[in-house]
Amino acid sequence: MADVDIVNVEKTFSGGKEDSPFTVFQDVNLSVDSGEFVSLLGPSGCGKSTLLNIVAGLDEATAGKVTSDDKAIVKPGPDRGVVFQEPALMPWLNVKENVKFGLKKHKLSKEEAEDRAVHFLKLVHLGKFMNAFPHELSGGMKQRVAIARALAMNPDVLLMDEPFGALDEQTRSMLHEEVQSIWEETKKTILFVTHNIREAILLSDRIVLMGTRPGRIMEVFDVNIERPRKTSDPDFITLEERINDQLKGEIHKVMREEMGDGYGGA
Amino acid sequence: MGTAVRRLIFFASLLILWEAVYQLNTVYEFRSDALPSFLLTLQQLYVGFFETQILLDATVQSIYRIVVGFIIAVIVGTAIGIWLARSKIADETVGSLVIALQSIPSIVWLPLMLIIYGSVGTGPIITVVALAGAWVMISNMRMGIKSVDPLLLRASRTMGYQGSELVWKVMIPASIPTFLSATRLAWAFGWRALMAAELLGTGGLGRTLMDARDFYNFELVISIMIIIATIGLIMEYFVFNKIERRVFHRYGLESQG
Repeated sequence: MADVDIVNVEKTFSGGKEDSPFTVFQDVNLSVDSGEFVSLLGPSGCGKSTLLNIVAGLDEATAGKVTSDDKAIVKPGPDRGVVFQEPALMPWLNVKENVKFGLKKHKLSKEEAEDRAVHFLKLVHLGKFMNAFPHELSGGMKQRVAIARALAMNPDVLLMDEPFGALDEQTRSMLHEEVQSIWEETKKTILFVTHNIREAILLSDRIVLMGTRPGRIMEVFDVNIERPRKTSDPDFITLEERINDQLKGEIHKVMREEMGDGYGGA
Repeated sequence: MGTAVRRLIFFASLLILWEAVYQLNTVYEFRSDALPSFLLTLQQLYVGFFETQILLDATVQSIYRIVVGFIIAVIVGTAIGIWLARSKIADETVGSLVIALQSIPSIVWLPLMLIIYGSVGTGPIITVVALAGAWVMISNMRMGIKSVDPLLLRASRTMGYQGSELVWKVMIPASIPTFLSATRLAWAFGWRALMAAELLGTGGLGRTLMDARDFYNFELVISIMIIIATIGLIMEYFVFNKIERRVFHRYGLESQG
């Protein structure tokens, strides 16, 4: 297990020859404790995915420091498992081979890798589909393979970038339950990017609300609601409204900028 | 089943019509020169393969040339294609040369090869076959590697893959379907180039075809055309199509074949 520390992080894209540099966000500070489930919530363009990618090591921060377990993050590594919005499975490998693909760096014996893949595929309820190829699976099943693959690497931190954004409502709520039980079982540190308020309240210990232009952390909400959470819980609804009020102002800001004076929203 | 039967009836009627025209001509002589006979063509094929072995030798020689040329095209073309996809400098320099050379019809290389090799043997012909297939291998592999889904590469990097591991474990397996389509084209281009080169050069089915014409052996000319078509069909439908369908299915892609 590990904690993640984000200190004074800034991300600026240099832009083309004529474009002026564009700052996605700056002075972002966030500490995620070991075993904590933290959501990054915000409108599109606030840089929440960029921040996650920096923690993953796929993107580089322009300034500031990001550490995992007090070690500076300079490149991607199997200590930080990533689940993307798209499942990103290798189409030429079957389900089990896809999970084992993530274990190449673990120097396991064939039997150990096999056992590990089988174990995590059973954890996401795909025991019957070990030999299927990705194109034979539904979107939700593919995403579960991607989760099993990330978990099988036994990462200290699990980074999830809108992992259920492309799924239908039923599949999504089923996967919410699965993620919760997996998190309770493995106690991984999870950093979860979403633009769905309910999803964030349902799953997180803390919700980091990000604003846009300039991208920044607006407010951090502690979710003190007993698990398993119900969307009908009064505390749930109160928190949802609080976050929604904050978020609305940000969304209007984005719309006004994109649509110009023609935008009539409050 | 229905399709197969209809096809069989169609081709049988065509062959009967062919032989009927020949037989009628022997009676009515509406064309003063001889017409080819289907039955005599079959006889030529039999004699050429099992008695004089002229056709057998020519076929073996042509197949040897296409196979060697094709293998060279695939190996060299794949390697250069991957190199161009991976190196920006190579792509800007060698890549533009490839595009320039690609537009030369492959048979145009034959005179140059004849001068370089100094003989009219197998060497220049195999080189022309290899050149015919190499360009399409290079450009398709380059595209195949370049168009590998960047998300697969990002995901692989988060699993600890880097540098050449990404090439071997992700880029190359991901572009196998492109590779197969490219080999099919390389074979088709190579086969056409081979026939053209042999018509002008020595040995093989192409040269035998010209010899048959010189002897005014109508049936032998058609026999050789049938052999050329048959080899093309077998490769297309029983080799490339089969492999492509199996691989494309595994990748969840639609086969074009």
